[in-house]
Amino acid sequence: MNNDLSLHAQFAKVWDNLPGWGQLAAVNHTSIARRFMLTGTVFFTIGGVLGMLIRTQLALPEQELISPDLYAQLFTMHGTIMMFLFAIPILEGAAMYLIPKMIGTRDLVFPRLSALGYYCYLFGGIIIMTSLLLGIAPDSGWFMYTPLSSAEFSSGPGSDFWLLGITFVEISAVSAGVELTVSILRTRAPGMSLSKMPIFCWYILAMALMIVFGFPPLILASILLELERAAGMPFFNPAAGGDPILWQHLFWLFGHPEVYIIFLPAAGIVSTIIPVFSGRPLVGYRWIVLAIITMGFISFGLWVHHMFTVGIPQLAQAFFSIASMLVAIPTSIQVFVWIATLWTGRVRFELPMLWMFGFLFIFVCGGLTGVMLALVPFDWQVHDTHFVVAHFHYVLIGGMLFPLIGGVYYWLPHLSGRMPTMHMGKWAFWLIFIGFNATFLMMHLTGLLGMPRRIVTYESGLGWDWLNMLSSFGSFIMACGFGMLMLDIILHFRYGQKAKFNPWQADTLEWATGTPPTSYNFLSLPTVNTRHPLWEEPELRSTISDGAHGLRSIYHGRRELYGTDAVTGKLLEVIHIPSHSWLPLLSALVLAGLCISLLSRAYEVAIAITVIATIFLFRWVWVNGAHKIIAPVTEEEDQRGEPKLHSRTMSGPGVWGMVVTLLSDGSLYLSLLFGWLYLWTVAPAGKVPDVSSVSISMMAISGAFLTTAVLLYRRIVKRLRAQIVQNLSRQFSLVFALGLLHLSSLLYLTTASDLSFKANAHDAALFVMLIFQIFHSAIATITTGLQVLRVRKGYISQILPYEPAVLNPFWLFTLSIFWVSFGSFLLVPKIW
Amino acid sequence: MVNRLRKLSLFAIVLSLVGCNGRYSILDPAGPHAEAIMWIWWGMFTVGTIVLIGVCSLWWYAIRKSHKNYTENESKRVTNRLVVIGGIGLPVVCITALLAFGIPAGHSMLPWPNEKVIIVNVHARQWFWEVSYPNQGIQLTDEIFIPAGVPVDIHVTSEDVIHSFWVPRLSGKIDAIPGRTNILRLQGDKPGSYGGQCAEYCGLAHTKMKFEVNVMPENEYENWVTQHGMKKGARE
Amino acid sequence: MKLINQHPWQYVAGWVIWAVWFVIAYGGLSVACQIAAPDPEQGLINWITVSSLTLTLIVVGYLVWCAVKSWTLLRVSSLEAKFTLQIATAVYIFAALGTLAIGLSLLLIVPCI
Repeated sequence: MNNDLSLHAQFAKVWDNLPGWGQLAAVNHTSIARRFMLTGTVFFTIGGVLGMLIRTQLALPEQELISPDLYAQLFTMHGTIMMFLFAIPILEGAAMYLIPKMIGTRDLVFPRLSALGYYCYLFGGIIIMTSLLLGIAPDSGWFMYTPLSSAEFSSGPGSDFWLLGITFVEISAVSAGVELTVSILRTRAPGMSLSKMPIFCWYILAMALMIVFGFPPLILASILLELERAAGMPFFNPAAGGDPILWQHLFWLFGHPEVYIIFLPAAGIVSTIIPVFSGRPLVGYRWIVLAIITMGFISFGLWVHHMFTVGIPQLAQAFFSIASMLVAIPTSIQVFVWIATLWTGRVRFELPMLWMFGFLFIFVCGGLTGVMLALVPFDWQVHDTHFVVAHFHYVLIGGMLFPLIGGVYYWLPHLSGRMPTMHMGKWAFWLIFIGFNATFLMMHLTGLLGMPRRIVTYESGLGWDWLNMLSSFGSFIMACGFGMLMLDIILHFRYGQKAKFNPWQADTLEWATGTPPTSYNFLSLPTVNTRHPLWEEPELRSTISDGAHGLRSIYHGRRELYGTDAVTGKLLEVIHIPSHSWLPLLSALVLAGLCISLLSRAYEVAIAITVIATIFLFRWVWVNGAHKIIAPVTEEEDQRGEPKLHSRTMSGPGVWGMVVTLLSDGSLYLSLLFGWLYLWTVAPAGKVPDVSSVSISMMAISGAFLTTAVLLYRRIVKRLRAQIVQNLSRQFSLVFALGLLHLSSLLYLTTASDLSFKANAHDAALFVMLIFQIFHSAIATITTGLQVLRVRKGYISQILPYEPAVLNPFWLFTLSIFWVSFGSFLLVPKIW
Repeated sequence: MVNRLRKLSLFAIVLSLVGCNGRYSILDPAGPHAEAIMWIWWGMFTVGTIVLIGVCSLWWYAIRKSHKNYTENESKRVTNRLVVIGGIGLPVVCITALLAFGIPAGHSMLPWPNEKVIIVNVHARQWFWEVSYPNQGIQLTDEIFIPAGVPVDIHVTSEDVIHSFWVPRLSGKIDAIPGRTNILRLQGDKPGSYGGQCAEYCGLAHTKMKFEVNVMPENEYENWVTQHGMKKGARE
Repeated sequence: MKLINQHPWQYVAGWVIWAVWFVIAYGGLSVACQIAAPDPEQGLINWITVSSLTLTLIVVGYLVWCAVKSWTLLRVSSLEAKFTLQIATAVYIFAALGTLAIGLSLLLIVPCI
């Protein structure tokens, strides 16, 4: 017993955060996730207050409480905050909190990235909120349609705050997406094959991959619009060959998947809670997996249904109309699987179940109006009216907020170690439920009576008066409900009854971590051979913390996880992860500085800060692998009966992280390519681009250098795999030199070309492509330069072949986009 | 036809009782397009309400019904039956029905080539509508005159930002986008004055960007054109 | 390596094929309407509809073939592979039906108007 206690103490010493200010250097997923959720709640409150102001202004006709200018800022910020600063981050927070615990591991796989993501979110959010305080918030609506948001019609800094701030926040979303994907695929408990994964993990896997593919179009669009505003590149200006509809395509290419990115984790919560309170496994696990995959894909084929009134031909609209209706099928499959689970189970009606019922009613209602809106002629009428406002509040509040609150009550004992109670919780539920429906149910009728969105006031006598009064009244009831909800949760931390072990009799592993959880979750990592470990192996409760399972050595001081096969869950290696670090905070601070300097158009400062940021990020890259503060090579590591450390293999999580990041990067590149082809073919001012100002032969020479470099690099990796390490440093130097030649020829041809990127949208797109290529070539070359140094330092060697394997996909990606660009941006227009 | 009219007027009375009429009401149509959409809405509303009540009751029943022990096979059968009938069958039937009504309705609203059609150009700017009749040489601001029962093609363009042209009682909306010309087919059957408004947020005075469509009997319209068209001609 | 196997790629292959078809059909349609829009009075028989419909039917046929192959393989597989193949088969079927449902609009609506 004494021995055990000291083992726990030793684990705590390695895994706990630093005390005091040191908390800011924390990278532990439980701490970071809590911060995500807390910050999200704060933003939700702010967004809610803005919503209440909107409802106050609309309560009576002809009111002049709020000026049109402020009103525009309010509705823009309400949407922006709720979507970008509340919904996505809080769900990511929930996922980051739960995923490692559910799959039986100790932390996420890239802890410093979690911390960076959090700080980017926090600082980005603060920057955006500042604009509201200064009265210069973005005011062109949360989807920022050009030309209203462009420099000509929004000359103030509002749009810049949106474009830069949101992009900053999106870095956080994408990094969480990458991290969750790799964690779910590579760090599940040994034996947990994909088919034995808790269903929640399937939902989060889909969500994470959708973030990876879905966010880059908006990131690209934001970059392009900011370039148009700041540097005069006319991507969206029809007078110079651009098209404002390109913005709408890119925005909704992100915007529609985003709705499902929000819905999927919430549905995952429902699929987790319902079986527990039905006292039986989820029936139709495979139906759900099928529905998740189907939803993930179809949701990328719906975006034009936000654009039915822009004048796209009817047949093309029909494609999207039918696709939008088809998405009802995976949704209703899930609903009926939940019904079947309740049907065949023995239901206990506890507080979370109340929220599940609220969810069902509101979400089904929102889903039905969604199918209606997918019908093109009906959409022509109600598009941009309050009918749509009612619809998406039903979908988002019903489909996301109700399950989330149900989930919060369900996992409260896990967070606090105390039980919630029905008393106040029930009241909060009914206030919110009744208030919500009072606000939004009759708002459908308001829309049908012709009230458009975003009008600051309305005249009396149009039939809208009593409906608006009702909505405003309902929103205040709902606000009281949220007040009571928050009070209930805060009070429970103090007065709630202590929770027993696994208080809801759940089946998933997160309840075996102890409540509240320790920083390392599990003292020893169990092998899992079932979907319902806590139901089928109740002894796990004690065996895990007695240290009866794997990876219980800690004397080495490393934070370690098991790395397993992505499909079968077979044990492959031991993943060592970095402990607390100041780099994420510092990097995020520098990036925030960059954001502010761009906002204030101090471009010299921005360049200086970029240099500092680069230094920080390369320092981050440097402190890795066998570096002395991470995992220096020791004698003991092969003698303890565990698999090899991942940095001694060639397939660790870094390779996976690189590949998933490149998928995201590829999505960004494809969006750019789409923009280029779109401006060429479909835009009304489109014509075959004139590319004669870029030297094709110079480009081909540059490409030849790049191709040789990549071939050589691949050879190095191949030889490393075969344990051949002669002349390693010289070979890396050669690749480095070739990379430099490639890069300098690319830089030369870019500066030598006389692209008129201020007068012509094609030239601007071509210029962005060249910059994109230079950025990638530069990173590949510099990191290879670092590899030369790392070979000399002994961080890359016969027993440490890891890093070249990680960098290899990046070189390949750089090569691929080079030749694709060469073909599609230069060659095809020339031949045409 | 008479029967249909009587039915319509009865319906209009019921609607005005529940408050569905109004200057901008979609539910109080005055043209064939808006009317088709209204009927589609009431159909969808009826089916939607039944589905909502059905699904929620089923859920409630599943929770409340007395418990019975299901074997593995039995619960599999219950699940597959529920999912196939409710999860797949129900939406497939609804979607098919919806498209069967919706696609022809949408088709009939398109600006098909038609010799009778009158062309009106509407150029949107912050924050008013410039209206011109290219064949008659008439210029107006914020008001449009059209003959009853004759299809009119509105050619919508924009000077500055994106606006959206919408006369709820006559037809759906179409965006006015800089660099593009969009065409909306409009037809009013009952003479009268119908409110139109900008539906896409276009800046500070978005709320006030309204206009009026006056539908007049065909002979009155002819008179109006000769009067105003002449004036235009005289000025040139 | 066989085209249909137990690789986890099969979880999504059906929908990826659908997605590629969707992009080609929608993108092709938009571009075709800019380059050589047929007269709307020509009705449903024109080069755009016929070629899109042919493409759709080929894709649907291929997806159905994949589903059948996957189903045959499923019946001789081990327990763990069964899960992958069951999902894969269903995904192929759903993707085929999804392609067909969306493609059917070609039979109802004249392009480019």
